[in-house]
Amino acid sequence: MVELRVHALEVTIRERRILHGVSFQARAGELLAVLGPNGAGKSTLLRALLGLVPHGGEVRIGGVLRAQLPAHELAKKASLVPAQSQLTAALRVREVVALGRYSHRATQAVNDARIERALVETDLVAFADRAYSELSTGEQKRTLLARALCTDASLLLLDEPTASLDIEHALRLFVLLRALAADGRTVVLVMHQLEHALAFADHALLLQRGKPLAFGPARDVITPANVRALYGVDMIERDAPGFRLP
Amino acid sequence: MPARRALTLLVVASVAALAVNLLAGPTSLQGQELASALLTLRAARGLTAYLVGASLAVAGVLAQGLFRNPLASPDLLGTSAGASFAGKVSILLLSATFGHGSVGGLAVEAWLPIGCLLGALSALLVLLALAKRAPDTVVLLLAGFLLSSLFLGLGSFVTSLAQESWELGRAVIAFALGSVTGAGPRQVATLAPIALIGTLAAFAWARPLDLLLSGEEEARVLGLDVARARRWCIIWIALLTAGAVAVGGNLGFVGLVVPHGLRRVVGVAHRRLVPAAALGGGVFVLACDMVARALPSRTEIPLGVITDLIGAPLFLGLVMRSQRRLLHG
Repeated sequence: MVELRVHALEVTIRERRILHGVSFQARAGELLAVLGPNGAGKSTLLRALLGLVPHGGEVRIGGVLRAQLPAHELAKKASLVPAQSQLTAALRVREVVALGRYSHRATQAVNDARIERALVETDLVAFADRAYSELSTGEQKRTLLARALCTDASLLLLDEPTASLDIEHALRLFVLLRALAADGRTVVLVMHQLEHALAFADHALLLQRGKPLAFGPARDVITPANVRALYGVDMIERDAPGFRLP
Repeated sequence: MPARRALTLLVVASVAALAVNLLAGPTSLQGQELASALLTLRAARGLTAYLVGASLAVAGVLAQGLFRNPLASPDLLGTSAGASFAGKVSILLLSATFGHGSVGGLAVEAWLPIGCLLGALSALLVLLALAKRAPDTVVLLLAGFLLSSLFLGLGSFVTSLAQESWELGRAVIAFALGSVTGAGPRQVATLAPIALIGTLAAFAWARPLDLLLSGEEEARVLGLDVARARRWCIIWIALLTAGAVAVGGNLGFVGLVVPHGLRRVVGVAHRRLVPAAALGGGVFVLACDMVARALPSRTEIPLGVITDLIGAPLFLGLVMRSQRRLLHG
């Protein structure tokens, strides 16, 4: 089932075209990597998907036009882990994670159980009563992921989720994202590490100056020719040291 | 200190402050009726001071949450000055309509909070429009400062106009300085529902205010109707500020110092901060009023002067402490 369908997406900010003619889709249970150099429009794409920037074209989530969804319904269908949060207050980690339950009219017990599960999934149990503002950048990132998980949204958008994570937590995150996809969720993540995209993503969307360069299965799309066109670097296919969880 | 214990302590402090306010001072008046009347007046004055403090402190919490800025408060953002200016205009207009004799009468007291509300709302809407164009904290505070100066200047003009009549001039100046000296059961009846409804509303908006700590965009992603939250927060800030200013005048620093200080004790989550601010604000202004009563002076020092004198150094201390924490960890 197609969870996210994007057709002819256009974003223009201050008369500057940031995205144009972007069309792609992502199925339930799929992990889609959005790749491209700095300034290609990757983060703007995620924000446009949620209607956070004015845009042309069409975005459907779960078959429904996103523009028709009120904020509280959209929050239950799609959630975003931003590259940088505006949150700087000393809310406790548990309180930050609990914000993900805002749109759910569930009982306290149900909410508490969901919050605990998100804390476990993101390895944050030991930090639950610490102030968010006192955490390291990587720990804050995991807190924001836990908050997004708490929404129970079927579409999860992540903007450079591994940017501040150590290698263990980065790998753990990908394992978790794969598990979420296996559970039927759709994961769209903006990322820079092509090797991670090759290892973990099902599909990839390559963006070049706001236009799609290629879209398809990750291994078919992340090719030497596309990498050269996109980043101006050569892709070396050889045995290199790799890392994995024990 | 755990938040729950802090809230309990604030409840105890509230009861103790109200009791001390009632019992302190001469009570051995001749005649049961006179003593009873004195106690009634004292209770009304104490309750009014408490409600003014609670209203301003809760308005401060809402303003700080809405503007995502711990330095925001109804007085720094020009909301109190807007309410005060409109209050003075109301007094002037009412005197022109009903004549000088009725300035201190029912008509003024009934209309004053509405005038103040319109002033507070106008100030907040102007500020919000500016904040949307330039969301930077410094710009916001400067805009608040300018707005406050503008309304204070206009207010001074109204005060000078009021000097044509001795009685009217006195009423306007007493209102501007901020005082609960003449407060009676009528003032309590005016402010109590405003303070209660405003505080309950702020408590009901606690979760949206927590969401807004992450910024409007993230709050929206998490399901908050940001425009609606903003609209209602403005209404409650305006209502609470207008009620407090109409009854107690333009008291400085309450909406700033009380939430700022209590955030360190009960944390930043609004479901704890709102009730703590209501209780703490009440105790703070009531204590200031007791100081005003106790100071030996031929005429009583206005409450607004006391809150400024206590609030300013207290706020400076809090800011210095945060700076030291930032520098030394």
